[in-house]
Amino acid sequence: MRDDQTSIKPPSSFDRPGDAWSEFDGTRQRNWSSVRRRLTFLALAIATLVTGVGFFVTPSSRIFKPGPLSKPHAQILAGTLTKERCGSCHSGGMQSPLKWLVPSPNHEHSMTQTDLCLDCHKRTIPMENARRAHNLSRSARKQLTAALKAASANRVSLVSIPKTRLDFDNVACAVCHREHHGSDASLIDLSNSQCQTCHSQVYGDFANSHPEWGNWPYDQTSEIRFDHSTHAGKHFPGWKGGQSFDCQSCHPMPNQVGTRASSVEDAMVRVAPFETACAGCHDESLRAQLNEGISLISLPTLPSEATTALRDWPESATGFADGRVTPIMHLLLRSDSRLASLLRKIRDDDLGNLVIKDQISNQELQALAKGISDLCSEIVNDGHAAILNRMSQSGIQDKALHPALVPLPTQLLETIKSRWMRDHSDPPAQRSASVDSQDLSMPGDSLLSDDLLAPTGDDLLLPTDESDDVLLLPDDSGDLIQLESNESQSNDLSRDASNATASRDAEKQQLLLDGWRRDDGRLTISYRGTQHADPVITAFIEGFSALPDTDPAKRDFSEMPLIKNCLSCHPGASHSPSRWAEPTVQSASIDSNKFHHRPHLNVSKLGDCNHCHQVTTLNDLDGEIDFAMNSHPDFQPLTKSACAACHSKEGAGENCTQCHRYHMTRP
Amino acid sequence: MDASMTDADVAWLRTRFPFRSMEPSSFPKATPLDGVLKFDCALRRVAPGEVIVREGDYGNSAFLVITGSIRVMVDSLSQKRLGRQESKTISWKEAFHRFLSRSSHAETRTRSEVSINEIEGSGGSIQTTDDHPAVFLQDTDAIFASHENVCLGPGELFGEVAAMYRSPRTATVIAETEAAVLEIRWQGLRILRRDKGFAETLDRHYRENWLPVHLRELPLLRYLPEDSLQKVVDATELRSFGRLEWNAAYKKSRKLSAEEQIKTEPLVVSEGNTPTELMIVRSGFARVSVRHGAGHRTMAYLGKGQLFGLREVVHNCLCGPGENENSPRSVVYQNSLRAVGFLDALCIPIEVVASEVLPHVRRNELPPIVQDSFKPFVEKRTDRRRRRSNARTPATTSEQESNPKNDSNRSSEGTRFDSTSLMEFVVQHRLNNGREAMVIDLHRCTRCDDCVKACGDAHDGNPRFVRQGAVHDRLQFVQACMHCVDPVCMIGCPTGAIARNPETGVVSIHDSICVGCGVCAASCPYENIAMAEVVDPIGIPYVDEAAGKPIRKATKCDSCSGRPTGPACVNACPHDAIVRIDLLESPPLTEWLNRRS
Amino acid sequence: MAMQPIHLRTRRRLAIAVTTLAILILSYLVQRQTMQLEHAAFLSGSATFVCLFLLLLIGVRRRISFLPLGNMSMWTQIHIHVGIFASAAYLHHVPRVIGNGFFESLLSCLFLFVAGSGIYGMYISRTLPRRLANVGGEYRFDRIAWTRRQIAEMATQLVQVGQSNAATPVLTKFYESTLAPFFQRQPRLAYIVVPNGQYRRRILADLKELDRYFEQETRQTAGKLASLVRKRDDLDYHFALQLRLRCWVLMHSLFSILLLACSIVHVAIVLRFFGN
Repeated sequence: MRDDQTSIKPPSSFDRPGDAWSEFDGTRQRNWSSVRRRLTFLALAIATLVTGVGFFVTPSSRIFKPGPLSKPHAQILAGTLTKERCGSCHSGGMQSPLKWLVPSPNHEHSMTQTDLCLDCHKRTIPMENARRAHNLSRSARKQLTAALKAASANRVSLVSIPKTRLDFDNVACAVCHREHHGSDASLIDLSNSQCQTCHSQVYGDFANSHPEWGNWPYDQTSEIRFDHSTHAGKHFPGWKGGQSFDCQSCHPMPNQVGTRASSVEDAMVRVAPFETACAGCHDESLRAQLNEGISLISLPTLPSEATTALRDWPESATGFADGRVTPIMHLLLRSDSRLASLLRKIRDDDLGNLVIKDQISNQELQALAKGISDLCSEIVNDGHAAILNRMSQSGIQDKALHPALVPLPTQLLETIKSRWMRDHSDPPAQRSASVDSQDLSMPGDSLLSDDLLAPTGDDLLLPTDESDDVLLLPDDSGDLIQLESNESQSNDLSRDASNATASRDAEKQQLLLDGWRRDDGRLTISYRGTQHADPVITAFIEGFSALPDTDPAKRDFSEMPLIKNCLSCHPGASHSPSRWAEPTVQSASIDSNKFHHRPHLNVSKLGDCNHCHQVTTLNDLDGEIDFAMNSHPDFQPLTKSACAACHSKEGAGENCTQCHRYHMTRP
Repeated sequence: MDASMTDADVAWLRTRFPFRSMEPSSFPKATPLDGVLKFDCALRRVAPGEVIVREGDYGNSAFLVITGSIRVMVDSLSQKRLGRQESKTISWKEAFHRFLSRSSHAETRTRSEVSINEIEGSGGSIQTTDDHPAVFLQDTDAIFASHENVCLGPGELFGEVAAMYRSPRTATVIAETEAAVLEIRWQGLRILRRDKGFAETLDRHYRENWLPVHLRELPLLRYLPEDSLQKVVDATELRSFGRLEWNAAYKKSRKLSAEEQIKTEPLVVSEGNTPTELMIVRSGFARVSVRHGAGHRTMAYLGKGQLFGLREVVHNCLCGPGENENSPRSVVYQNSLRAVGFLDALCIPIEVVASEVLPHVRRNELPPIVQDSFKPFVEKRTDRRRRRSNARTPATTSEQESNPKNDSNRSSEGTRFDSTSLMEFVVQHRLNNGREAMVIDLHRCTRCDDCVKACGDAHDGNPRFVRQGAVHDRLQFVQACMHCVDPVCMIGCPTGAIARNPETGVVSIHDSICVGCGVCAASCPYENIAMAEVVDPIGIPYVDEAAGKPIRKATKCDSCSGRPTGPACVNACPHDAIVRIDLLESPPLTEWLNRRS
Repeated sequence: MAMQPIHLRTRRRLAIAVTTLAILILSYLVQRQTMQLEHAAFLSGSATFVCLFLLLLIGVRRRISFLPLGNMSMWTQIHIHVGIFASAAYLHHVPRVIGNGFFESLLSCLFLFVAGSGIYGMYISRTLPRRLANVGGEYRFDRIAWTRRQIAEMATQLVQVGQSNAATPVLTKFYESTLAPFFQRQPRLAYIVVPNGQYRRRILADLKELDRYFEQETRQTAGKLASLVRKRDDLDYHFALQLRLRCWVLMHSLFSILLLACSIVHVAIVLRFFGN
């Protein structure tokens, strides 16, 4: 030891660490234990004081704040008083802290937090299903589960996820949406395992264990029949030295269409309007189709024996039984029962098919003629009304047909008798000269019109094969050119309008020929449409759509080249109610998937649509294609692997919530 | 001793037995018989019912009945009868109650606790007969009737074994009639033994009654058959060294350095001598040292029941005739033995060891170096043991079970620590006396004094120790009662208020019969007993009307005996820094240290 | 005391292993509950709260030492490791280490302070005892002021009873100028915060410097004074370190009381505001 020579002998008395004081040789001194006791009391007093003051000076909103609210909620609640602020989500928040200790009697039937959530969110969440899992009834959930099990049958999931103890018919909002986790914390993100804790069918990573989707996204019925593969493979390359088959020309980006896109979040526009998408190629041929119009009435040629009874039957319509009963006229005649039976006998309304002296006796032909002349006189007497009511008698409601008759001038009808029914001593030259020129001022146009309208029965323009090819290809139009070699305007149909004067004539012609007209030479009242979606023709089609498909009249009608042409792109139009255009996006009552094109298109590789939507080339078409699985044979099926290429845990992410939405009721 | 002895008394005594038969010439000039009687003896007048000695007490003096008759109780009296409160563990509830109803003042006592005289119906009372207080028992006749006892008349001596061999009194002695006893201090006894007849009587008595018991307690001699044990008993010599009141001397010698202390210690055996006998420490302590450079280095220290010279003796016995020194294979004492304070040794001559003891010793009890040369005895030992196990007396078995410590890990060859300095330290501070020494590991003790506070809580507000005491490097040996092996504090207590619990060995003070004389506090060499003034629950100090002085009581650690928790200090230490440990042996402390190395 | 016979290191390792296991189990349960869309904050929060009570129990145990409730060292071990566990539970519980809002930030600051002070206390209660033991002498804290006086008196006596010779005035002068202030006054605050030996060294150096002006016996006196200076410095060293230990206990217990109070309020609020 160091200092042995100066050692301090301990004091005579012990100190007692427990006591407040200890005394050594007469001197008292305070022990640490009492110092400590005093300090403790002092500090506690100060602490309580400081805390109390702090509670009083700081607004209570800042005192209790378990965590900042998420932005929207914070913005909504900003400015409100603390009490309401807490109370607006916490039922306990409304009372004063003193009341907490005493259990309030009506506590059990006080509002739960979920009720308070739904007070604000009742618009977007259906109240009756709000607390149900996925907002679905138990039965609906059962169905979905069964479907899911079926989809992922024979799939063993290696991942095991602890099962929740939630009551699936009473799921509080707070189960998934956790507040007070900061203004930038998302209220809706859930981990995959959190999603799957409720699900009996458990999946591992997206690439390996997620079930394939069958026809999606090609399983949607489309109103416009458009063959992507032939367009991509044949027409676009072949048309006018070839064009690029650009998807966006028909399916423009939402932002390009602007208003339409903003209506629904950012679904692709299904189809651009005809004018922008199709007109470029199809407009001319369409006009050509429209040129041979559809005839309302045309008098057939009947043998003289049948017409002798009628004094005024036009002579020009006398001879061998010829000409046909147009579908519209068929309907008009059919409205009286006698003729209906008769018409049924005439094979596809073509009188040319009749062989006289067989089953059709003269008086029947007389009856037919009589009926026709009655029809004419009736139309003459009371115009549209006659047509409408005869139509409606044969099953077409007049309001559907009404728009078709609006542009039909009644004097055109009134003058039928005066013009057609004449004495027999009229030279053909005169007759041809005396074509009613009230709407034709140009000389020689009867001839023109004759020649133009001559080929009524069969359509030169249309090849009769079933390939719905309505394009007017140059080689097809060859014989037309020979038919009227001197006709400039008919050439215009097939040649491009480089020649200015010729084109001007053509347009003038068009103007004169369009609309309703009466041809005294051929004894017809016919209509010629102007452009795509012509109201009259549309009206007729919609009118006929009311008839059953078995109706011969409808059959003939849809056989008519022009109509067939329409229906080839609008198959849905022939059945009432007629569907012409595509709905912009598809929507379903139960839809747990969401797919946004926009974020995907930002990826350069995905910029061209073909990356995902591969159009089958023509030789693919020749080869086998599983039509059952793919409703669109002209698209390669879109497989999961295509998505899984990017959507992995490391890549674009494989969260359930990226593609699935929990609340299965669309806002 | 008190100057009560006058020459007249001495003269009168010389006329009485046994002194009249003594031959004064047999006494040396320095210590004549009269001198012994005058200075080493005291006449005590005892009144009927006075308790002269109590069973379990330690004493320095023997008593000789001069007149009257006294009774030696063969059946032991209950502690309660002797005015002591028996030790029983209090329940939780009791402890809790005490905690709640504790007074704000320290050392509060109820009247009954202050003095036994206040207790109605208690068997005893404290009275003072010619200026020494003593405990008196009422209706002694009933006691004598109910308890077997022996009546001693004039000329009969008692208490000499306890006086000479520092062993607890074996019986309670009560005065039956007015009697005069001569109290002879141990120094006196030693001298009186110069007288053959007197010595004869003492020795015979001791050898017959006590020596076999003491020898039996040795693990080495456990399996000795009776006849050879008898031979050993006859051959054994008794030797005493040092002073029984070593504590008084130690108060001076503790200041000395180790070297000086060793010089002061009486030399028992010096190294290099031819081993002639096997030494057994029967009581007291001894230091085994070897010459190391200029000084002596402590190799071990011996306590009760430990042996010295076993290795040498056994070696010589087995490897050749021990008696001819020049035989190359015989060895000499490797260490020298010194009495630390007081030493009382039994010496068995080497040839007796060879002939009687070794054949019955279990091999694993012998020091390692001789074990290899121990073959011939193996099968002998085994069949002998089998025979003994057939003829085993219930006494030996019970004795064996009663103190299993004997054949426990305690080494029979003395206590040694790896660090000599620690050993030197322990011996120098006489800590080897401690059975429950309080040791603090200063490398873990945060000096928070929780131990002291807990002690204060346990002992009504007055801690029985404070964290102070001798420090040896990381160990502090705190000044708290060690409940010593050799409880010098118990010597000289007039009323037997300070007593050792025979089961637990805890030395505690029985307040109701403590007269506050302070003898124990004075005689404790470690200053671990404090006298405290006691107050009543509202803080008014008790006053002894007769003397007009405040009543004081001796207070010391009772190692929380009677508390459900055990020692409060150890329990209260948050850092495992404190331990109550038996320093008589090395293993406990060594293991404790190893656990925290 | 089941822990008694085993090595303290073994005990520590055992306890740490158990604690780690408990923490792992807790975090697993929290993960699982989050996965199950349950409010895992209830689990971790209640764990922390219960732990707080357990941690406070040691203070109670300290005061009722008379009941056989296991010894304090066992309680300390439990306290330490429950504390570690509680910190882990706290980290699982809070969205951010320091909450926002007056009350929550107060609460979390309290917790962090108490936890930190606990770790600091673990450190100093392991290290300071060694430093104290390496300084000569043991001084009881409650006696230190008294001992200081004793030393001062001894010093004054040394100087006063110093025999008069030529050198005496030098020593006396030095004593009055330098030693007396050192012995009389309390140790400086700086010393209490960071005890260091430079002041002692300076004084001793100056004293040594004077030696050549002294005779023999004055030198002895000077030597005694020097040893007194060392003793006094050791005393101050003990005072500083023991004071540090005790102040730490004070702080730790004090703030833990506040923490418990606040956390009770917190629990009340939570139970009130939680809804489904």
